[in-house]
Amino acid sequence: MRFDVDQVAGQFGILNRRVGDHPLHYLDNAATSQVPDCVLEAVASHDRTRRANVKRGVHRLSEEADEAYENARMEVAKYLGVGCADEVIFTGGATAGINLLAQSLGHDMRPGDEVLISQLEHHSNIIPWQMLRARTGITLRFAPVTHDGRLDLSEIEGCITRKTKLVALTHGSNVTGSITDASPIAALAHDRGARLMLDGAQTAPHGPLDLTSLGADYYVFSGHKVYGPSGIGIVWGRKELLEEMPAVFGGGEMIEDVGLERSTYAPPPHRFEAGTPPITQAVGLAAALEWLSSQDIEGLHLHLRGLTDQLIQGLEHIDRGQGRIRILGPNRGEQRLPLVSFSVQGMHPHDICQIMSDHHGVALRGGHHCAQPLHDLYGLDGTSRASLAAFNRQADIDAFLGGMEHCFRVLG
Amino acid sequence: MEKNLYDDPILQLANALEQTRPIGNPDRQATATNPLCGDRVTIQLEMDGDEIRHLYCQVRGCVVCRASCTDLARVAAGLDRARLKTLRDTLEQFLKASIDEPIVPAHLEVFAPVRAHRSRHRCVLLPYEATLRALTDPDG
Repeated sequence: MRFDVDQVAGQFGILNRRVGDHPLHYLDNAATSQVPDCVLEAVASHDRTRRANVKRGVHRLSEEADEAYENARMEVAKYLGVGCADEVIFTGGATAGINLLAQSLGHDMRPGDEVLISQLEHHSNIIPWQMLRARTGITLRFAPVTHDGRLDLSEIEGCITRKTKLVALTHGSNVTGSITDASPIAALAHDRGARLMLDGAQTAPHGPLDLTSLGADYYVFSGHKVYGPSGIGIVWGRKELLEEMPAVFGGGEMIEDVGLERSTYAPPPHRFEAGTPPITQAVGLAAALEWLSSQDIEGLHLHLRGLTDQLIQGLEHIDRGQGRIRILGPNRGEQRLPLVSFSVQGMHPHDICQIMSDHHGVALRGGHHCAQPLHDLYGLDGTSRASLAAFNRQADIDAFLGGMEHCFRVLG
Repeated sequence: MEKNLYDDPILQLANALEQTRPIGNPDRQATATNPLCGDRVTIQLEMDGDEIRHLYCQVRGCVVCRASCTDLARVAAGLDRARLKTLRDTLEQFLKASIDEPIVPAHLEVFAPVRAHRSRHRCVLLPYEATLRALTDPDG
């Protein structure tokens, strides 16, 4: 079906609400996207008709719940372009997933081992590795970032050594919108005996992936950014790698046999899913991925590219060559995620976001976007960010640009 | 109806921050940061015994934060830690608009529009946090 933004927007009931006297113009999708009605219905329907715990019961409801949960796993595998659903671990989100990997992979790391991250990373892909360093004495290294907010591929090779155990990088920046060219990094990492983890929190929302050709060994993303519920995310890992990984959370579900003195654990993925999992949320995530996969993805990308370019061009026009507005990331027309972070000299992001919300119904995000090191690198206290999704339309861009003109009138 | 957050009174206070007098050799100094938005306030104090003689703010922050810094700088002279804490607590209760809504000093009423925006309350309170820190556990 050809991409029709009005038809898509019509599936998001929340877009009918108002913010004070104004229609909602939701441009904070990099923080959390909205959920289409079919996802809300899938979640409600599950809890209305099949709610039960998984794996532990033989009664009908339990079997149906278990089937729904494992079907959700298969849907995620399909979205990721991987053949084996057992490579998909359900977690509480991307942050939980990265922490899981840091704890489990870190089990075998020793002082002198290296983990490479970058200055582009979200805090969720910085702090778990800092914690690992504190626990184990590993060395943390940082790949540099270019002036236009990309990973500096010309410098990455020098950052991956024979001591590197893991390269953990963003697949797409939540601040600059740059998309990491992962394949050459994967080749470099593997050549040096290292593994590659990609943080796909920002890239997964923009269409089905092909992890096989990407070359990653691990991949994480969050459901609430992919038109799904909050409280769910995934870690994907190659089967043979997951099988080597020790469990890090212990409890029900992840066991094979339990004694008072010792226990044995289930194989992946269940080894990493201790306790009752987020069953309903997994069902919702599957519905979201199914919905997204059914869209005209190329048409969607074209649509968002057009809106993003308009947004950047509009900011440039408002700036009128004064140099007060600084737009982070690749130049207009170059490949980027549909998000734009910008600073305005003399205006605090929170003041911009407040005016936008109160007077124009526009939802933006202001601050460091959980990327303080990147903002420090650019000498910025914070930025304002507009981030788009499938339901955003021309009216949203118009409201954003009108609101920015207003900000300049009020804040000077 | 709550007034607009960016009405003239708050904006004027924010813009007046530049007129406060810096302190060359402060008796006490401390910094407080709001990790949610990156606002950072450094307070420098000239002391007269246990009381503040003069307060200066270095601010990297939003309009609301800067306005609060200016306001505090204007009223800080003569306050000791206990009275400052009472003022801060009164302001916090006012912002939260609780049932037992306190009677606030007139100079704090300008922050009434902030009450509707919980995410901005900390911006108003940040200079108080920094000042209390300066009086309790100043930066080295």
